[in-house]
Amino acid sequence: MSKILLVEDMPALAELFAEAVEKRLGHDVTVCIAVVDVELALTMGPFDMAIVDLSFKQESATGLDALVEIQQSSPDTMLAIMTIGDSHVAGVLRDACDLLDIRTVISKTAPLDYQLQMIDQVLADGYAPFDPAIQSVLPATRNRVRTPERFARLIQHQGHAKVWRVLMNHDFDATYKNLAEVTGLKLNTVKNYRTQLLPELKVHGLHDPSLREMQDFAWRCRAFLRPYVDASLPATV
Amino acid sequence: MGGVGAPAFDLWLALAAGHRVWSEGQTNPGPRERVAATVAAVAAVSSGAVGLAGAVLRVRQSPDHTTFDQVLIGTAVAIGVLVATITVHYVRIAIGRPGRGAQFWPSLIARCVTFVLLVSAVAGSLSFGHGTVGAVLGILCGADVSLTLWTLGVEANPWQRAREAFFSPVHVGALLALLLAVTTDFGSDHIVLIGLYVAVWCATITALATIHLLDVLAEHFERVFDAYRRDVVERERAHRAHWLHDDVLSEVRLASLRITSGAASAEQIQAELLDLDHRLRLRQLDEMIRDGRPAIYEILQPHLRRAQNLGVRLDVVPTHEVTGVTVSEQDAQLLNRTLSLLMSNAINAGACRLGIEVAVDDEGIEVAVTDDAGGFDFDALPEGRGLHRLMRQLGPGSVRRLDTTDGSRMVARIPHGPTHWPRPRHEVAAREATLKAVR
Repeated sequence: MSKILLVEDMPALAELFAEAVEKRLGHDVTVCIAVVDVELALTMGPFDMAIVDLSFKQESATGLDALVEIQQSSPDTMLAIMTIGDSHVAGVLRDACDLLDIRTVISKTAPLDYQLQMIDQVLADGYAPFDPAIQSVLPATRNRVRTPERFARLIQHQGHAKVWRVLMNHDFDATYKNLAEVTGLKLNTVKNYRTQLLPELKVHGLHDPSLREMQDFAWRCRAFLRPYVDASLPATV
Repeated sequence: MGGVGAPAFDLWLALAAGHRVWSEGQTNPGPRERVAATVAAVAAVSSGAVGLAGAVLRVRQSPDHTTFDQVLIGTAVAIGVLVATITVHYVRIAIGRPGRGAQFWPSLIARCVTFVLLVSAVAGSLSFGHGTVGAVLGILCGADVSLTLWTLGVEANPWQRAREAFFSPVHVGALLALLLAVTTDFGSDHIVLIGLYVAVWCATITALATIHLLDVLAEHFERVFDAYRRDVVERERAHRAHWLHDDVLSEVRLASLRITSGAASAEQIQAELLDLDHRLRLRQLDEMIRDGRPAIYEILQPHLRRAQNLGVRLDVVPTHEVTGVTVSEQDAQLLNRTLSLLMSNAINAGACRLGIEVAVDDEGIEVAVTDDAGGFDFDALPEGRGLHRLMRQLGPGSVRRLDTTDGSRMVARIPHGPTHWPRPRHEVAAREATLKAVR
């Protein structure tokens, strides 16, 4: 019997799915319905596998935050994603598949038997082919150049860290004026920092991005950016 | 100009560097940007025309025509080149195809040099009317500054700027020096100085008035857009409520009645719910197609999910390198119809496995559906069938069938409709760079 952590924000769906996994596959499933509760749920581990939804409408978080937290706390837990796979979560899904060792991606709309078969395959073989309906929003191969350690190159000095710290806030109105105002940097300095980061941003699929696109990226990938930003900036800056 | 954490001088530099420096990622300029760019382009061309007219007038008044003809040609070429250099960026914005961003210092230097040369060429060619040309150049500056201020997110506040300019130490000093010079020893040189001073103020006032007018216009656009948006939201709400009531709720009600009356088995109800799920997804897709340019994966997904839910195994599906491409509304409709028809035909013929491939090029979209349903006589296809209608719609030879070991491979080619436009070159280059990095 394996231990599975299911992170899904719809309680009824999560309970029913957990019940199906427990009854039909005989595994022990712990349900967690919010990203903020993942830390607490992890104390009930260790888990052999974690199945995480990507969209959490009630929280200012995505499944990527949960996945990173699980990976950091329990590196041996196999990570799987269960998602609707629409355009709303496509960016987060691509980030997760590039930056984490995702063992499978299950479509929420796939037949239950097929979903259970994928879980069994991951537990048995360590990997199951991604659901074909989801595969259409993912590249054919993983971008191997893109790694969590690569985010260090997005913070070449304190100035970059200041800019990223502000851009990680999803509610910030990302204009040059506002960014200069909040960071205390000059307008052309902000512009220069952006220009310095352009080659590295290409690795993350951003080609000549606007400030708003950089903000979306920073918010989505804040779990990977924040450690380097915090290391670069003293808490008071 | 205050309001920015960095020194005011920083904002002046930002304005001098211009809109291109700060506008990266803005691929679709709004109406206010288009209006301001049009005003700037017209003002730039007008200032050139005024300069040329002045030069022609001077030549006609001059006794030495030969020398002045050469001067006129030189002036005309210089003004033409300068105006074209300045105008090209505005024209691109006005037609909705702005160029790529620019670097700060190169742009700042190039713009300052070009503008100073233009002012010198135009002012130098005039023997009178410096105030008029000052006003025209003021409109150009005002529209240009408005574009940059909007992009930076800085409030213009033109009248405060006018007060600041008037009471600034530079202006007060220059004014006192001019008054002192005029009152102590008045001569013809002082008339030129006064003329220049008036021209500078004409330019400043016109620039501020242009900024103000463009701001008023921008607010007007905002109000019109807000009203339009509210109207659309209200209509959409009513539309959705109606659809929810008519389609979704009535279907759910039907399923509920069947369950309570015991007339349908659990499998039948599940099949009905799956069908409802598919119809809702197609409806969602309709909305996406109507909204503009959907990505291919958005069109593909309802059909893939449908096949999966019917127990069909999907052996091959296209990946994001292809499905990430966006298509026009017309292409999207045809692609949706083609996928729906080819996949439904295969499933209805008893396919257990399907392979879906999509390729996009400059001419059109090619869709291939491979199945294991045994095959059929393509040439004996009766008229009036869905496939026949699709062939008529896509054109002769656009749909073909190939035999496979255990079924068919149906290939349909959808030519791009008239609303298709190729992706910008830098977007194509970016995608290719990503693919290269991934490989």
